[in-house]
Amino acid sequence: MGEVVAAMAGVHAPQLLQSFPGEDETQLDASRDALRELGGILDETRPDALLIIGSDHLETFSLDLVPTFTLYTGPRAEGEFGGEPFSRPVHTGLATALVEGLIERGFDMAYSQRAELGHAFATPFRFVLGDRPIPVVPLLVNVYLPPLTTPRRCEALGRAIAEVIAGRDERVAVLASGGMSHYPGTPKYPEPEFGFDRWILDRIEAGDLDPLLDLTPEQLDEVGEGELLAWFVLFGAMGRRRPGRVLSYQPIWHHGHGVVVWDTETQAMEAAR
Amino acid sequence: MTDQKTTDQKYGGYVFRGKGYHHYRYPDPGSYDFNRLLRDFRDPALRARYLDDADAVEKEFGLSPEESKALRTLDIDTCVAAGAHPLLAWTGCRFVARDREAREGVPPGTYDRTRDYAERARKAGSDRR
Repeated sequence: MGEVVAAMAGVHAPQLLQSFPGEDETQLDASRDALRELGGILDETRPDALLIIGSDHLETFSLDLVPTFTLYTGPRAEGEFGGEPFSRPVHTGLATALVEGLIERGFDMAYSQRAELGHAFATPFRFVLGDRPIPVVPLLVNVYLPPLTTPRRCEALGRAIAEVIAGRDERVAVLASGGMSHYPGTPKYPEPEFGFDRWILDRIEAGDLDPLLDLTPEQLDEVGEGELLAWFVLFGAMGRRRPGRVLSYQPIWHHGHGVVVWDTETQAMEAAR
Repeated sequence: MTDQKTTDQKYGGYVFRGKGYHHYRYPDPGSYDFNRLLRDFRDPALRARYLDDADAVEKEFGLSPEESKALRTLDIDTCVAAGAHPLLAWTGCRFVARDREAREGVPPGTYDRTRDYAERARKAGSDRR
């Protein structure tokens, strides 16, 4: 029986991929190290596929078409960021089964067999996946073009994803790529809501996720947390787990970087030995 | 975990203004052509054509005089005020600005105004860690 064997969330800031003037490389390295730590969880859990839930920054889609949830089902997950191309194999069997299973369950998913992916995928490919030959399944969530879906809808989608996985054979790691507070392209760019980030992380460490799922998309926009919609899909998909462990939080002057993992009881007991 | 401070206050003390979308709004369909051009600036050849002949590219994409004027500032906030989506203004203006700096051999930051944000953050003392 298939199962979700790892549940992780992490920042995908472009500053992690490219050198930008004025950035604190010590902070960026802390985020990179934490993302690499998530790669270690892949070594421990040995998944058959890595489902990456990422936000589109209008790199994949445009105002020509704005799908809320899109599964990428083509054979390679490809794109380019900062002049560096990337290409990873897709677990097309699982991706297609997710499209079919989710539509059966009332989620009218969009799918794409050819799309250019952006840094929401390039970053985890480099720092989490690294050289591991694990096929991926990209799931895109619209977080920047209102009207946005709700956290509760994302959680429900995640639960349906877990059901589809449970009906198959694969052991699947799930990574939410995005967050935390930031406002690229707006006058509020230099003023992230770090206090709100810390409240979120406190709730996660307390295993108290309902207050986060009760947020509205408008509230998420106001505090620069729209990308957490990807995290909320993960919340639904990961099932019963221990409260989240925050591996790193970096309040970079324009962006709160968070990296979190949720262990099962078994994983937590093994880690404690 | 590093640099983590706990907070007992709901929402970390943040008080929502609660009036719809504040930062990333539904784009006015009347700004579609402006946003299409900003997104298409991902293509270096289009950026080169714009730097060669801005009038021609603005006409090709059907920009209004207000949109053309905003774009020529390469200022993200100005473009957003003229109807651009913030993410598209962010990428489009920066890509064009950096190409223009390279073409003219002027220092980085001459046209790419994103460094202004860091300066504003420093001046405002908003390094609130």
